[in-house]
Amino acid sequence: MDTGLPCIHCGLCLHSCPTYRELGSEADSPRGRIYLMEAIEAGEQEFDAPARAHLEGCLSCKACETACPSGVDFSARMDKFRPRLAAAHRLAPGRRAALLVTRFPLLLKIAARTARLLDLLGLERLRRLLPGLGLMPGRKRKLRASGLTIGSPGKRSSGLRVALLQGCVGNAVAPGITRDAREVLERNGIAVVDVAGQGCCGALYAHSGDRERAAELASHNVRLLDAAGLDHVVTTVAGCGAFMREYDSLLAHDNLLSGAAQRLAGATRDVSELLVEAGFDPPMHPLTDIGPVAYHDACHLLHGCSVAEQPRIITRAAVGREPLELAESELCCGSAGSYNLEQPSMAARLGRRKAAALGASEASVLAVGNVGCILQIEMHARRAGIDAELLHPVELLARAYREGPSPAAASSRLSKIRRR
Amino acid sequence: MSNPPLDAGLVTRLRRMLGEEGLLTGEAALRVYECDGYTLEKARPSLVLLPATTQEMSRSVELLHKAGIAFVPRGAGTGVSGGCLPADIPVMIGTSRMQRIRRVDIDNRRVEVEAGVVNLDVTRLVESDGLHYAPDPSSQAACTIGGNVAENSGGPHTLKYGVTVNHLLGLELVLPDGEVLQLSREAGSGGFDLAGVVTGSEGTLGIITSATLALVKTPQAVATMLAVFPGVLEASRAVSAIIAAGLVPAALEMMDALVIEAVEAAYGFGFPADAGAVLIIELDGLAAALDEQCVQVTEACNEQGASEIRRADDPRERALLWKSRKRAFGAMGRLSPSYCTQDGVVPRSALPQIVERIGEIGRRYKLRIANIMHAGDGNIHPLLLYDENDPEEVARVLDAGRDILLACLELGGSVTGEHGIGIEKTELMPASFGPATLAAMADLREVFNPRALCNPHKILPSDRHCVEVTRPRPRGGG
Amino acid sequence: MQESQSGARGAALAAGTEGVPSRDARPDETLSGLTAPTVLSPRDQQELLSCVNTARSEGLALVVTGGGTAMDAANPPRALDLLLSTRGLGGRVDARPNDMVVTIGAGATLTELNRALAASGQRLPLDPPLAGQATLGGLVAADTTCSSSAGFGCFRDMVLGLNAIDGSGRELTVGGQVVKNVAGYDLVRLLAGSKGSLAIITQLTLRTFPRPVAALTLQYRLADTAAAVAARASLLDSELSPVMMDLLQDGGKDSSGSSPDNDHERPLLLLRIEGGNSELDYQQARLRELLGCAPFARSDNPPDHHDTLHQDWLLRLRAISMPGQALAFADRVATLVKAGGSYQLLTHLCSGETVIGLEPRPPVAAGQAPTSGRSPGEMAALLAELRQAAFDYKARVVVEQAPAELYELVDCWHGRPAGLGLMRQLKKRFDPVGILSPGRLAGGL
Repeated sequence: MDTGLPCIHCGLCLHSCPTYRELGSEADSPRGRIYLMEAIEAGEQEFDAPARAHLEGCLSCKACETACPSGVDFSARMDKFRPRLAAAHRLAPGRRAALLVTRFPLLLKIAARTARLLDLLGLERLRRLLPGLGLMPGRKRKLRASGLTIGSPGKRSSGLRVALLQGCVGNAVAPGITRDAREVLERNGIAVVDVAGQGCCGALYAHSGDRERAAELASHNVRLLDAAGLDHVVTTVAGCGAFMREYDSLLAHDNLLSGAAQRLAGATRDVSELLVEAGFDPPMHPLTDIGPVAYHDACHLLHGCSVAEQPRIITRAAVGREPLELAESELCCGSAGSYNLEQPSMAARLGRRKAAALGASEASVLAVGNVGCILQIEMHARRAGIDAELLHPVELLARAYREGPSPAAASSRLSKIRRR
Repeated sequence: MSNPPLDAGLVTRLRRMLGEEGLLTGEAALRVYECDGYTLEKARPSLVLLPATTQEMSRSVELLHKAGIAFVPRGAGTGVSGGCLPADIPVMIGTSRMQRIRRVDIDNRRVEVEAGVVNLDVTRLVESDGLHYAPDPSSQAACTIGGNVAENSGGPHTLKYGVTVNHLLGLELVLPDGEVLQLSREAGSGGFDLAGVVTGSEGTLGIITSATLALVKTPQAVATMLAVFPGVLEASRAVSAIIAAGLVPAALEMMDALVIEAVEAAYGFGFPADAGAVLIIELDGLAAALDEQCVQVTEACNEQGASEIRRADDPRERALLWKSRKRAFGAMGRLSPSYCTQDGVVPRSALPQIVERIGEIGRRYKLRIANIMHAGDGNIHPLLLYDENDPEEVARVLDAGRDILLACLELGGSVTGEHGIGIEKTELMPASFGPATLAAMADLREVFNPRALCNPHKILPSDRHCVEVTRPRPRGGG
Repeated sequence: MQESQSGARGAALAAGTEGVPSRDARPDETLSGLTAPTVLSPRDQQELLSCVNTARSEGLALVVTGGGTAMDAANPPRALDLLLSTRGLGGRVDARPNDMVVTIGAGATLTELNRALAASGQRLPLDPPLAGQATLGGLVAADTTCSSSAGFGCFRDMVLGLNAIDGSGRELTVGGQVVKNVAGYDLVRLLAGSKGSLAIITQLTLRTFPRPVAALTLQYRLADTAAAVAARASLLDSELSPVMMDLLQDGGKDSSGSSPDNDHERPLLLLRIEGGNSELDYQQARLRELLGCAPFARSDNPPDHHDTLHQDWLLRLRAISMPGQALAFADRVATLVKAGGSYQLLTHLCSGETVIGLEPRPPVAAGQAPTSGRSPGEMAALLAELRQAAFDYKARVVVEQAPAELYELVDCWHGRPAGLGLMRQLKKRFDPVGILSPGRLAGGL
């Protein structure tokens, strides 16, 4: 695997790293981790429990890659090292459970419903403190998307055919996002086709050091989706989107699939990215009455896919004003895939930090383009007594469409918003 | 090399005070403190302390002082002269957990922040009030204010706005015996400017725990121009011509062909492939003035043979241009497996001479040398490209670097404009200053640091210089 | 040598400084109420060194003087055997306009420097009081605050390097000749503002700046202090950066301020703007909007209010506060001093310093004694009162000029600086015998 250019030890990554920001310890920074990995590989540093702990503390948020002036591919180095981490000790119970659950979304659905029941009994504050259940979405988040549909697409069609990545965790705990994404895409003349049999994208396995299993899952998806004759595969979960963009390097040595993998990697789009790329109708009645709205960058969107502007454009259109920015908005919330199960203490610190920033912003709605972040921030906001609503930008847009008049009237009068 | 282990009782006392996260032990945690951005020499501390408050800092230092144990302060470790190398220093004290913003005082145009606050975050704190913190070292996204004060950091915009000391209003300093001083630079104190003296003292006079910084009005308008020249000599002459026209640009930066090649590969700004050198010229101030000044700059550049002059009006283009410049060091990895950055200063008008001398030196030592310069300040950053697997070439790199700095001195300049003496350049101090001045500097240090416990062996040449010198590795800076 | 120096020490001084021009001090050549018996005027570094070495070996206390404009702005020295004038250390001006740098002898005045720089279109843009008299060495040693510090900073910010001889006779070359330099400890910081108590500056390398195409002084008469506070706020919040932002207030009975519009009871805002012609037009138009009025006076020349404040008053104090508190404190000062006679307050709005002029100097032509001034005891009481009031504003009040008797009653400095212990040790290192202005600074430094 190509691990890119050498680290020149300049330290520019330090301040971008959430664990360094929390701990202030060089070994918990990207530069420190690279230094440790190199020393371990060179046989100078024992691969002992402390060394492992520093490396396992990495959130894989990729913020350091954005900060790096030298083009060091930190994730590649880390991924290359993860098998050694995994081999060095048994997978932590949390991560094992999480990986297991991805194969049985039913378990997640049950957990989500249990959480909802507790909330209905007025026990949300208590429930938020429970492991696992604390992360489940709150009352405000509908388990089932609103019965109201946005309406049939307008007269025009973009001619695009896309599939929505069903995802595993996201779809199970927040099916409303997928549903809203579908309706919003269709509302803007993008045909969404169902590709049955999709599986997990494999990201969770890759980040646990099991690249073989990840490649298996990827191969499955590549075969399935490449055969469907799509223009794009659209994701609403940042982590999946970022990982699918790496399918080409993951399957580069697979003679049969490398071409298809490359195509799929190039065709992967975040839902906001595609909407802005293809053009979307601004809602007639933006949600101007819902209080201050902020946008928060999901790491894998910002650092993994370089998607920063598009979700803001969507959010701005949905709420009719410029979204606020949180302080330290570039910092990971601690969700990071299954990190909050694997490293609960650091995840909680970062979650509290993010919740505090949300509280300080006085926003009543926070738009985030990734369900993991939504759940994590929501849990810590509730624990801190902050009553902000956490929504995916596409949910906001869907809501604005629903509250406005029918699209036929709207689309005839409004010009499309496109990326400048 | 390693430092000897410490008395267990002392470590226990420190741990009780600082907590588990405030005291680092063990091979893995300590190994990574072997070097900062200067990787030529390495030494591992026996203990790293990360106090979170001034009180913890003061108590830690006091305990070490009582025990007679040497210590070295460290900010983000972005320095490139080995200023925080723990050579023969058992304990390192980091400021990374001292991150509080103590005061934002817009009416008085100042902020007070703790030493571990990152440079760029100061500007972020006040930019909505139309203000900013002017010193902007290339590492500003990571380097800390404590480190900036200790190094008297500059940056591309020092030409017009000055360096750290010109923006410093006061300091909180923990002396090497643990005493805490609040030093103000206000007029009429009837004493000496101790805060000014501590600025640039590279952590040898005490540990800075907070700084009060002056804020500067963000200019109404900014014009960033790119001028392309056939070679470095023409570009150097254009720098003088711009100054001679009576302009004080906010920044005046130069990159030569090799740097342009690397930067283009990394960021794809769109520099012409055949450019021999480019100048980045930034003018700021009132919008009413800028157009006229841009015309003057254009004329000056044209007279010196510029082949193309572009004005980056779009903020994105401007940001990309600056990114290309500020991250140019990092991009060099794309040209050469290793490189070594030097830092010297010549009088601005001597740029053509030093450029010729660097060319000669490169030819003499058979090295490729790329040039990045804060041309407006006469501050040069030659980048000596080499392969670290070739020990003979490494030796030539070290010799060539020294020759370039000696050439700077001959031309009336200095051996460091912003990276500091650290441990890297102590041997060049006698070439820079006479014995009386060096003795006065030693006096100054002894007054603050009488037992030489706080960051010994730095700045001034000392009889012992016992560290493991490894192969030079690439490093950034500037 | 002269006869006035008596005894063995005088003889030793004469022998040690053979050839150095010397003379008796003039009666008006006093410092903080004292007169030195002898004035030595070395003409070069070597002569200066022989003076220092002689003083060192004989234990003679000396005070360095340049143009003599700030001689009263410190406590009287514990002893005073001679005055060492640096006026003879002017010498060659080495201007390098393309480097925006000049090297010049410490005895040259700012006016001399700027005259030399004019040909190359450069200048040192600071405007201390009495610039034609004050030497550059003195200005740097005193780090004199200027009106144009608003735009250009202090003298200490102008110094790139300097030569000096310290109290132990060491010839120091500190800093450098280039605009950016972090080699070694920055002894420039130690010596700038140390008021000649560690070393005697003999030569300076200073930053210079291009002369602006045009510059304009604008004077606005404001309604009252509240209007001044508002004007300050709107100027700070605007895009404009006048290089001078001063507020001048006259008051008290029998006001003697020389105001051009006979409306001296109201505060006068003095601004100086610079730039190209279009820039100046823009700034004037914006100022009119921001201040809501047109200036009543406009001039190409810099104003002389700072000079006159230095010349017209017998007692001059300086209040130092945070810029945002300066006008409030100035107001408080006004209420405390107005009963005692006329006064003048000059507030530098950016630095927050207010120069307070009290006890008008009687017009020389009239030749009459001051009619009703405060006694030294009353002045001391007033100073105590001002310092007490300053407490509420976190301000300090220092004495810059006073009648001789007051120096016996008060400390010119207000409180002691942090790090006094370190300063005393530095003093011991750089001036082990204590020959340089002993006791002039705070805390007996």
